Amino acid sequence: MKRRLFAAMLIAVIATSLGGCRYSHEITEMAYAVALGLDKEEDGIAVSVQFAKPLSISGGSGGESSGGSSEKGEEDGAKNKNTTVLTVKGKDIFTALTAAENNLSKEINLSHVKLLLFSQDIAQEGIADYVKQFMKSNQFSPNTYTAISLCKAEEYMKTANPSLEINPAKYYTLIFSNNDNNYMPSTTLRELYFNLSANGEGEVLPVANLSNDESNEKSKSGEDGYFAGQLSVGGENKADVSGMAILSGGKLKQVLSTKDALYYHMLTGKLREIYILIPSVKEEGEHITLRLTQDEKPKLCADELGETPKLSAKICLMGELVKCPDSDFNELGIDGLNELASRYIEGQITDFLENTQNESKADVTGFGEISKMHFSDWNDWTLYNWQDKFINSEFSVTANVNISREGLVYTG
Amino acid sequence: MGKWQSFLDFHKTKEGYILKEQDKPYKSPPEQDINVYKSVNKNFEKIKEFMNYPKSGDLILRWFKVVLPDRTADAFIFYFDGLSSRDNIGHFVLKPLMQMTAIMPPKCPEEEYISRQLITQNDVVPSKTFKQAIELVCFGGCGIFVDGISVCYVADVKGWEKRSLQKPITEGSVLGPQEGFTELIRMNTALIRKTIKDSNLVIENMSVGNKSKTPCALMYIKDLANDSLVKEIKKRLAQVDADYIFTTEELESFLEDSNLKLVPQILATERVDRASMELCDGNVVLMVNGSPFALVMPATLFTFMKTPDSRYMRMPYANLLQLVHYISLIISVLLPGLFIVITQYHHEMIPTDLLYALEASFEITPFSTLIELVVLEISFELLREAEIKIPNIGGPSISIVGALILGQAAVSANIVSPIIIIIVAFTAVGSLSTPNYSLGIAFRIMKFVYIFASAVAGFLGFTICLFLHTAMLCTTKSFGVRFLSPVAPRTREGFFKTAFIGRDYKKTSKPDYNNSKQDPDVDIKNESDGEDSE
Amino acid sequence: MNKRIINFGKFETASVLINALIVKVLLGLPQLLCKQAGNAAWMIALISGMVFLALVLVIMRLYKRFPNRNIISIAEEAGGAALKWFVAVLIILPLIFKGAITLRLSAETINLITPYRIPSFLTAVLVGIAIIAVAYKGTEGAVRLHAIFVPLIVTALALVIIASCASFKLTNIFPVWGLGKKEVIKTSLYAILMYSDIIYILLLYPYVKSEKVFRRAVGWGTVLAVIIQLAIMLGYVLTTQYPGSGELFMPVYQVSRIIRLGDNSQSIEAIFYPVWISSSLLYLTLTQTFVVEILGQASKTKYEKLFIVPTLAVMFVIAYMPKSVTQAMQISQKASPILFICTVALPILVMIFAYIKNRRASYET
Repeated sequence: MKRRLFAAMLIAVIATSLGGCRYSHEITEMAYAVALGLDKEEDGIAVSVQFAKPLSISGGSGGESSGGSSEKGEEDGAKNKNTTVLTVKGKDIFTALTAAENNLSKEINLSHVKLLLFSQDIAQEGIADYVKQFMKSNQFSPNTYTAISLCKAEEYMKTANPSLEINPAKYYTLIFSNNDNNYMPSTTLRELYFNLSANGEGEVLPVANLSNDESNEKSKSGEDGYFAGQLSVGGENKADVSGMAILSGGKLKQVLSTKDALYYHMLTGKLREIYILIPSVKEEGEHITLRLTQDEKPKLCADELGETPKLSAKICLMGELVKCPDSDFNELGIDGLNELASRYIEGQITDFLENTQNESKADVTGFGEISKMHFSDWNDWTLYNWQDKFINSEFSVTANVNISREGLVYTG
Repeated sequence: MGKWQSFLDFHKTKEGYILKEQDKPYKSPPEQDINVYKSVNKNFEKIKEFMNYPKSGDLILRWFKVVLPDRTADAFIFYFDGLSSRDNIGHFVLKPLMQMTAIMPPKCPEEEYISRQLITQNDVVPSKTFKQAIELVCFGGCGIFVDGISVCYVADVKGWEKRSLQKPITEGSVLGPQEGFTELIRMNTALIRKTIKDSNLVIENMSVGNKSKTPCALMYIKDLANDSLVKEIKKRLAQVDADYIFTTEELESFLEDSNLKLVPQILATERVDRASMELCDGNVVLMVNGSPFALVMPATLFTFMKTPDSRYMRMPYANLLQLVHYISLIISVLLPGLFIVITQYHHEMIPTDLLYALEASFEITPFSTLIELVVLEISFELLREAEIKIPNIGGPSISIVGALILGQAAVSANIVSPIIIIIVAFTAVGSLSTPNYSLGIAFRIMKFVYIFASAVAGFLGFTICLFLHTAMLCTTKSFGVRFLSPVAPRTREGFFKTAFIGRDYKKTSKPDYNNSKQDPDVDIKNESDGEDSE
Repeated sequence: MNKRIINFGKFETASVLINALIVKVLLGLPQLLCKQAGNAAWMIALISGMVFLALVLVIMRLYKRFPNRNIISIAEEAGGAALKWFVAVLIILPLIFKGAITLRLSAETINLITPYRIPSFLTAVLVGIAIIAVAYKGTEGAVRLHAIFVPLIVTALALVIIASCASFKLTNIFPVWGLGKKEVIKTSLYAILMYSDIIYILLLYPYVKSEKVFRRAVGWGTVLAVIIQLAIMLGYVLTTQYPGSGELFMPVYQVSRIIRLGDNSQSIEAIFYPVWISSSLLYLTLTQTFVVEILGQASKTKYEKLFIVPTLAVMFVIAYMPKSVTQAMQISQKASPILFICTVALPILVMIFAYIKNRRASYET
């Protein structure tokens, strides 16, 4: 009797658990999205999802893959063989995606999304709700990169055609993690979410765009400040990421150039190695080139937190002389050059700060975080209303450039 | 007698051979527990009856005459051919009995005269009953009956063919001594005795098996081993109720605490140094004649996870070795389950590059991951079994079949994906490098349970399986010692001290769980939070 | 109280205590505290930890008078069968309730964080099987499991905190007092109510080897548990900015999601699932074994294992009574003062009563 009871229990357990097997999902049952973009439509949004084609990426059977992409139409099929972009219109992201599954044979899995792209229209309307929705879902990794697209997100994803990578996921990770790129910020979903919920602080996002062949006459050279789409880079890949967008309260306020992004990195202490041009004093049209790295962490201070807070920043940079006209070098000497570079950077940073203060009315460099220390209580801090006070604040920037090396050849 | 019986029994009929039902009622063999008679002829008749003389062809019976001081007596010897040494019988039994009587005048009664003065063989047992005499003769003795004396002298002239000392097969060692036990119990006890030169080493002779009477030796160091442990083992040995027991492995199932538990609770080792080390730790070692393995009791998980090499190697490498053992154990049991969890439930854990590669490889295989994995695991078990059965003849061909057909062909035929082969191979390597064979088997069985549980409910199933597996291990006992002893009943030693080798300048401490007598820490232990064995 | 063969040492007792306190932190306490006290939540862990330690000291002081006995036998001695049953029921009900809430929360949590959802029913069945299996092994099995799993859990938590170090933002601590000093103290008082798990110490006492070991174990256990709680709280507060930190479900899991391993893994947090699951399982099995043990002790039966399935059924029914997780959480918050009274105040009162009675008796003689 005991044995039979045991057997019955065992069968019951095995039966219920075997039923459980159907909750598992094979890898092949899933379509893994690489990037997800949001565009504005008249009545709702358009969700574009980019999928990688594993068979063509891993090179298992290359012959099939080239044929597979042709059904997406000649314009994107010709451009990118390894990915496919699917666009669905709807009122909500997830209902739209569910509808998209009918088109695909596989279930959409978002756990490998590397990039969340908001188009300019959406960003101007406000992205806070979407960000919250992404955070709520357990599918998205909080470390997903986010960006603003000045063109249509769908267009961007279709055009992005990495020439050095076959794996689009790798491309997005490399380009948006910006390990050594100071021309754009890098923002993850998580950072965006917390910034959005904090009051009085702006958000920065990298800007993506397509470089426009027709607007070549407007296009700028690398040294001027520019943002994505303005610079003409001769290459296969027309997709470009550079510059930074400033949002306040989830709404797009301002698109800043790569130059501003540089000073943003200087202020936040994320500066890598950069080259900077300083106009020559002696020779018209000539310039001095410096390679700068961060020497010490930037010190941000907030004093006299009254109606007009006095905000100060101290930036220490280490430099290497790359190019310097002889006349400047002989005239100024290293000390003079230090002085020149310091004053130049001070001016630029002050411009950047005042620009963001006036145009987008958002504190993006973290002065708010510093000011918070002076309050003992969250209520006081909220009452102080940082957003209003920041607009009235005054900046004093001290830069300290120390040219410690002159390269392999003494210029003097 | 059902119809099945007729298939098993063999007896010639029209249909073929079937075994006939026994028509005569079972006749119990004649009672051997009777005293030896004075008359040699009577004794001869009895021996013939007991030993089934003309039927058993290897029994040698030889008549001769002994010249005693006052008379000449008839005498005969009996022994088994091949079991006893003919030379010894000739030189030390027959020769003195037949020739030396004239030289040596008797100084004691006849009964003692023969054993004390005549037989020059070194070990002679005068036995009063047939039973004892026959038992000794069955173990290579030579029985001597002399007319007029109601004693059977049994000279110990064992001399059968035996395997010489060989390298241990299952427990290899790089630096340690290369001698393993053999099938002969005396040789084995001698090997231990020569390793531990301590007069307190007690080797108790016993026998198990109602019919087989297999000699065993229970070894312990008297002033070290816990008395209650020795008592308990003796009790269990006395309770063994089986007709025939030939090997230690058979005996193991009689002695261990629970047969249902997957893990072994007694360590079987064929290394002399290992057995000696365990004795010096206060453990008890049991050997059975006819088996080259010694049983070490009690044993915990950490006993199984140690190899002699971890003691011979220098400390840094020994610890690396120990780490490898634990990793291999964990891989052998958890890896396939973890693979199922990740590929079936947690795709987000896989690096994106690998994910695409996996997807591409799974895309072209027809079966689900679970089926592929289980089938390959089973095929590996088959291969391993085949390899053990015929290692020399079948080995190379099995390798070819395994590597080429199961591996290469299955992948190129798109039946299994290469990643599954990698996982199975990893698991197999892990399982093979688990230090103890029996422990490896125990965890190999669990591997399938983990695969199943993981397929059912992902990490939940996996964790519950891990939880229950650990609970099972926690409650397993080996002679009152918990299987996970220094960890689960946490004692002063703790995991790291037990599992790894410390930078010790003296090694006098004994395992906590044994509560051995000479442990230098045993006094303070009562105050610490150590767990006593019951 | 019959003489027990098994006894537990310092390590086991401490790990029981640590897990009982950690399981709440894993299941969402930091978020709750952040919601009520802002970014000063870490301070609450410190303050309430201190109060908890004081409470434990008081109880141990009282317990000194009743060596090797648990609260049920003390009650029986002091007030006969009536008091014994009264105390037993008042302890069993909160235990079952706590078990039920933990069961519900952990089952829902597992569901919510797993990408492909297993139905709640299957989760419950599997957890039920685990609980029954361990409960049949008795208190010994449950406590020994703690000794193995708790070090692993603590290591995993430490790894989470260390790995998320890169995302620490020191300015998140400011303003120092969070939502205000008043809120901090109020929330601390409230947090103490969550520590009704003190009852496990009382029930574990007769098993522990000696009074000295017990005192040391509880002391170390409490201190370690408070340190771990503080570390988790600080880690959580430092990685999440305040207004957002009050909104995140399952805080420690959220911290673990931050960890990045570059291209080596898309996201690593799933590897910590066994930690959350095993912590809850440990808590549930221990609760179940104690419920069964108290019932067995109160009814003086040898067949206490018969109680396993019925009490577990009750626990399941209570667990699935609230309609949603949020409701379950709210109920547990509301019930925590009652639970505290039943599991902390009641035993103290009973012990004081027994002590006075003892003294009077000895005075009279």
